[in-house]
Amino acid sequence: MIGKKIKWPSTIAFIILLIFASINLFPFFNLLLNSFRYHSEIVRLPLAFDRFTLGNYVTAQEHANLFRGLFNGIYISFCTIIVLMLLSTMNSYALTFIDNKYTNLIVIFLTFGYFIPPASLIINTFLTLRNLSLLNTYTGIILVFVALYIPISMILLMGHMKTIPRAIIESAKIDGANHYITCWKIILPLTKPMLVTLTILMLLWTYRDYMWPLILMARPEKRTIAVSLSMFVSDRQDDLGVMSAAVMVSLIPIMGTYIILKDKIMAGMAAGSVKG
Amino acid sequence: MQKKRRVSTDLRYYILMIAPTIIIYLLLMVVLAKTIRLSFFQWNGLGEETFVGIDNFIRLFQDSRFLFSLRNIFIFIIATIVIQVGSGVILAYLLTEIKVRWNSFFKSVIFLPVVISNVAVSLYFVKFFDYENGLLNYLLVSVGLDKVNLLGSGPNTIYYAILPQTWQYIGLMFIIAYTGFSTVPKSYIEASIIDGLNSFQRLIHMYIPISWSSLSSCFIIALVGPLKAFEHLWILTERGGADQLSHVPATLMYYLGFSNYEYGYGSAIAVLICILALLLVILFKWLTDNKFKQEGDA
Repeated sequence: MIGKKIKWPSTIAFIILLIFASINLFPFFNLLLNSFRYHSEIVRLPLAFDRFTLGNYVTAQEHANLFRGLFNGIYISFCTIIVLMLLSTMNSYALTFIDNKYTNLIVIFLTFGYFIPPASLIINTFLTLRNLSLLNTYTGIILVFVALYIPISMILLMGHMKTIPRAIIESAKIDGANHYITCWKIILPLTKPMLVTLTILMLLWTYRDYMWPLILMARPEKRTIAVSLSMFVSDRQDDLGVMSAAVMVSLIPIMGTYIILKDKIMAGMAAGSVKG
Repeated sequence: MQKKRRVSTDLRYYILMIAPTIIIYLLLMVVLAKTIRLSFFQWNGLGEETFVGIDNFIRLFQDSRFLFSLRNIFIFIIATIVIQVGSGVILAYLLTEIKVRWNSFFKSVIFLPVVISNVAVSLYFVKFFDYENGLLNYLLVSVGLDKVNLLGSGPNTIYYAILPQTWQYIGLMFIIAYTGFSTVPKSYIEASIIDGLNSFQRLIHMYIPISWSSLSSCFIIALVGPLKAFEHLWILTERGGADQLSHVPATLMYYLGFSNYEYGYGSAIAVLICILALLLVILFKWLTDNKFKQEGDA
């Protein structure tokens, strides 16, 4: 009797979760299968699997130069992350551990950017970069990404650094370390968990971004993978097999990262969204 | 003398360490300032800029495309709150409250769509909803129903075009709610079982109030997220639809700026997006702060 009472809710919950999980997984398997099939057969029988072909991947690469896109996307993400980490660690260190009467003002000024929806800045960022001749350059888009994510990384890093006891800084000072040494040798190792979280957030946000590369990196050889993918809609490329193959190629890096780091990614995304 | 030197060393380090960040951040501020300035001008990107005062804003509120984009964003926000936050909270609740098998498998599968790129999801759904060869129509026909052209249904397109994004980010809401729920102490739950609360009462009276600080960020994301939304609608409605009635403000701004070269007019929308985002957040904070202070600070 009691056994029955406890079992029912968990069975219902299990079924609801199973349905939801299959909704989430279905598109993925659908794409995976379609990427190995011929367009004519996908159209005729969308849910079957008949003849196997690798030709779609070849066509997708020729049509949109996906590998170039992958390289561009990953390159831009990595540069953004490295520059942002260097700047933000120093910046947050100074704002947290060096006393200055203007600190509050600077923190408010830097936090302000967090409340501007990035989409609203797109026209004038384009015009500004055009004036600086930074369109279609890696420098331009990396600058924009770094500027956009300075507020959130400062919020997260300062939040973490405030939990580090100040006595550590004092003792480093007595031992004769200057602020640079304290920052890199003592504080950096202690903020590692938050830096990992930030790296994951930035990797997801910049690698998957579509809007910024679409206008700032419009030239075919500078396109990131997200932009190359969208070409399959605007070029009226109607081959479903080729499109699926292209989507699969774009998913490989992100899925690989997700499978390896899934707990860190989930925790990081939760932390990154809540702090704001 | 000694003390004075000490202070100036600190100050020197302070300035050196924050200067690079401030300089790059100024780019953002310059762009914002330019946006506000340009919203009072008419400019096609090449010729002279003509000052038009607040004409751009007056024109916006007479422009049916913009009025529709406001309607659309309203629908979008409601759908996000109901579908996304709703399912996120329910799923989180199921996984915390009831011990089911494959717990960690479900967690990672629910979160999976969040990491996939917006473009990939949109592309999949463009083909899924496609009139000619779409999977949806194939299924409808095979059960004996008529074909539907959901993404080409004029002003109603928006109801279907927001679904992919709403679905994709359920996982984010889920993980925020789940993290919040797992902070609820075990002893509280045991106490509530002894007091005879059923599962639903526990959700309303315990999980939600205790984890409110994380849940409130779900609502803020749901309120502001649609204002930032761009990729899905841009791709799914093919640049706002044939009649330009399926825009949200961000896509309309992009369309005006880069397809019509109306930079001043587009900047006016940008300014309104910023104001709207700020207003929504302030309104939400104000509403919830009042409510929870009355209930005695959860």
